[in-house]
Amino acid sequence: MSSTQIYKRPLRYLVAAVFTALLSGLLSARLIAVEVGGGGASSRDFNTLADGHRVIEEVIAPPRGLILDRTGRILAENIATYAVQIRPGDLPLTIRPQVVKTLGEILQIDPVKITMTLDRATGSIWEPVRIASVVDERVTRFIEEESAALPGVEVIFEPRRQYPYGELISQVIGYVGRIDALELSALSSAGYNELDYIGRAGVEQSYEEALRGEPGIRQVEIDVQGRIVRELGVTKTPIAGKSVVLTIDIAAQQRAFDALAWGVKAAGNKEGVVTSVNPQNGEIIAMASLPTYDNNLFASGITTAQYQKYLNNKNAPLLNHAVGSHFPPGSTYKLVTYSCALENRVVGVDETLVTPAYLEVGGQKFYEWNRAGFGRRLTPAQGFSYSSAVITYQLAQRLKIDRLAACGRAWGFGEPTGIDLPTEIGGVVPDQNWARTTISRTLYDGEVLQSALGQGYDLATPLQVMNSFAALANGGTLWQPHVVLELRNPDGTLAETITPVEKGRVGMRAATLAEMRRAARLVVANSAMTRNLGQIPLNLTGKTGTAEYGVRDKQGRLPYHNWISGFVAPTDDWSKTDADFAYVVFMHGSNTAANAAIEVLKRYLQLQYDLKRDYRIPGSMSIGNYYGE
Amino acid sequence: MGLGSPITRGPFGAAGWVGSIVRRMDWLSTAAIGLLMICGLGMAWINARSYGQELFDLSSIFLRSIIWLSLSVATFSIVTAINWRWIRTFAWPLYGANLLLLIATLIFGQDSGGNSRAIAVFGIAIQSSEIAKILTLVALATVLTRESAEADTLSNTLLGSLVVAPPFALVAIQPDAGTALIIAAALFGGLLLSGAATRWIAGLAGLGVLLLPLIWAFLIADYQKERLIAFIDPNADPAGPKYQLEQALTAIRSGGLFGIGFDGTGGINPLPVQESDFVFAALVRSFGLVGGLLVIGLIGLLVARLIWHAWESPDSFGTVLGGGLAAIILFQGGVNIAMNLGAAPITGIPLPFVSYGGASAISLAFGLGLVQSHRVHQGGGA
Repeated sequence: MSSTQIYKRPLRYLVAAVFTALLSGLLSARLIAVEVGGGGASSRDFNTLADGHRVIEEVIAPPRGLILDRTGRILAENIATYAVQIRPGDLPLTIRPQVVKTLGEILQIDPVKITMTLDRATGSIWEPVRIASVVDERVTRFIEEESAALPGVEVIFEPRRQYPYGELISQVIGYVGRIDALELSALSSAGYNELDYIGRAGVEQSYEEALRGEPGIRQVEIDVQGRIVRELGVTKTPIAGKSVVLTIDIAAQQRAFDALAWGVKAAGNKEGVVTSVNPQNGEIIAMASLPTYDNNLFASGITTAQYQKYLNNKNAPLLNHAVGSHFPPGSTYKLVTYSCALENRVVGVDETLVTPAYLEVGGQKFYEWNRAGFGRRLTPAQGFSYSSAVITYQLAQRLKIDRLAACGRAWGFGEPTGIDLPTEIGGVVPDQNWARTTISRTLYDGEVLQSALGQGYDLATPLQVMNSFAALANGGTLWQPHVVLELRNPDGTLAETITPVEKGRVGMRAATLAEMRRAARLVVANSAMTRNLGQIPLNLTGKTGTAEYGVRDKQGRLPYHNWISGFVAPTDDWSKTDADFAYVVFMHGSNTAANAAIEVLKRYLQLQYDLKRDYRIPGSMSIGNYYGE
Repeated sequence: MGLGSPITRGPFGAAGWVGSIVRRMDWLSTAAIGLLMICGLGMAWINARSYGQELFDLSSIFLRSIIWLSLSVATFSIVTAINWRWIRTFAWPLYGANLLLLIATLIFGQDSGGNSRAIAVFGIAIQSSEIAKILTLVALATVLTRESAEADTLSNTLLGSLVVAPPFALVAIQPDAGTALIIAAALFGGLLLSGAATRWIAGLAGLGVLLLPLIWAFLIADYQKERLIAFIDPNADPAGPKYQLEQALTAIRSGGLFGIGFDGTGGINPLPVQESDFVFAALVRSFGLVGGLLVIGLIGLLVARLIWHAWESPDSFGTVLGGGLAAIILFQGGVNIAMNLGAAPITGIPLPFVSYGGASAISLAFGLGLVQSHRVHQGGGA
């Protein structure tokens, strides 16, 4: 039917069909190979590029976890800021003066300073040099508009740490800082790089690993000079850090802080600590230490002058005095001496001891604190409530130093409590061994008496003192205090609960501890000693302390700290061990007419327990010559 | 002869006419075309989302794909229904018009991705080279079916080459080496299956090889050379094609067996030109190995049916058309997929119906519709 000659050549059709099938098969095989083998020559060759280009892996910093208070209020967060930097390699030297001048005008920085910063920069000319941090967004927009006239000038986005409550809780939260060379060499294997921030104090430091998250990795191609030519893709997405939830409610922190702030202002001593803990589990309720500092200054790059000011302050605002400083614990340490004597049965509960004006030991007179004595025999508990020095001396003589020191250690003195905050120190519990290695002799008898009083070589942190009374309250368990309640994932789900860790047990009989709780109540109830403290409508216990230190003045008097530490029980049944609030108040160098720590405690309890009446006594915070106890 | 009686408007009227068309159509190839179009639509949806486009904005790839593919379906249906002999009478005017369009493109051509391939007609950028490959094939089939033609003569081969040469040259100097090669492949496929003598086909191929240095020197743009070098030399500059390829391979690997599906594509970084050149990689990322194998299978099935049509055809027109189209689709599909898999150099050759592109889809629909028409309207002589 067709006029055209058709030559159908079957072989060609066969070849065409086979070719089609073969090609489809080969493409399918190749697809499977790529999918399964991850392959192809192209992938293997990718690491050996022309012109000395290399593919390197770069770390992507993960967003840092938040720090929240117990009720979920944000204590540390990340905010967006902008920084301006110059990449010298992109800035031709011929126009540098003009660019620096223009940039200086925009940023209101002296152009000479910018030039100096550029000239001082070491490293590759492609490495950016930081010119300004925390630049206002409007200024950065202006720079971006002028970018044609500002070659090499870059605006970068930078997350920064912000602490909404600043100095109220900076001692606990801490701050982050740029990693330094030493830290970097130790941590580079953990994925840190020189631009990273790292926790430098407080929770920011102790929970660095959780807060930091897991860095991501991206592949970038760099040329011979180390300049990034192109981003090749993210091989590992960063995982945001976990959020840290504190045991502290910021409202409770505010109460402790306010009481302390009032106290140091009234006494004029500048330095002090108010801390409380739940004796049942070691959860810190509040932890205030004065003087304090604004950790936001560190977050935005603290100036050298400001930092020097903090460092030169002799009251050490950067130090959390609750854990990082130790002081003679004074009469608060009598908890150790009295419990030790009762436990070792060197004195009976109902035994009465003489109270002369002084005890003569080794030809030296050791006076009662009132230099008169109490004129009658007192039981140990009564002696404790009067804070009698002479009775304490008698107990120390019966105990001897090594037994006393062992009791000190049993109550947690002499080594760190193990709180989850950095830079905690352990204090000193002297015994003959300690004396031989430290002062190359044995302790004199007089020094033993001083040790029983929490003076002499005795040193303790406020936290240790509080922890000993917390152990008294809970029946003898030394919990590791902790400021962190739990860790939460970035999506808010619970990641880890910090379970209380038992550091040790005091190891004394229940009867001994019950007697000491009763004695600690007697201290508060003894109006001759603590005036109206016993009128506070709480089952309050405590032990005051006045600890001399330093150098005598012209009248031969020593400056002194004031202490009080104890707990509040739900009932006045002192055989029970269910108190949920233990505290310590420490007033450094208060030198007040009355025990300044008691006045601060009254204010703290009024705020904490919402008491209507103010039990503070006017005038007790005036400078005096109070050699109480 | 072959497939029964000529279609007439019989006792059942229009319904019977449609029915007889439907009965005579090749439903395997039609199904393959339809499924490829659905893949194209799905990819347009994913790409529009990946580029962050409003799906039903007139500028969105998705809405445009719907329009273009609808027009393609319409073209396919109409051409199938019309007797191919009638269309053939327009072969030369269409061929001439296409040459004019190609010349116009060279003169007024818009820059679309670095060269002058498209020309604006009524505000729509037309890729004249995509149209050229089909209209050239139709002209080729016409000239090889002329009254006095004898398939294995030198004159027949020369005549066919002469018809193909002008559009080939005009496309090549755009420069669009890929499409020019497709036109050459169409000639090759048509001649091969219509029975041209082996020696003349070999001679033609030899001529092509001899011309290669000239083509390299004058007709291949620098960026195309770069792509070829990138394919051959593993140490080539990683800035360009190499990087695109690496991204495509990464995307393919991320697809796994079933892909990340429709949902996962919203926030994903688009691949370079993932709506056309790298559509296959994007498809495998979304639908996995299964989706990739399906597309390869569909292309293979379509090509096989076209070869079968050429074999069954009672006349040279059907043989040349079937063979040429088989060559075009096999070449396009093979090169595009191989390129996505790192097994061929990067060229701007679209994957039939899956890649976004109006001119490509409509002209392919025209050619494939003509093949259907050739099946449907059998009898009555060529």
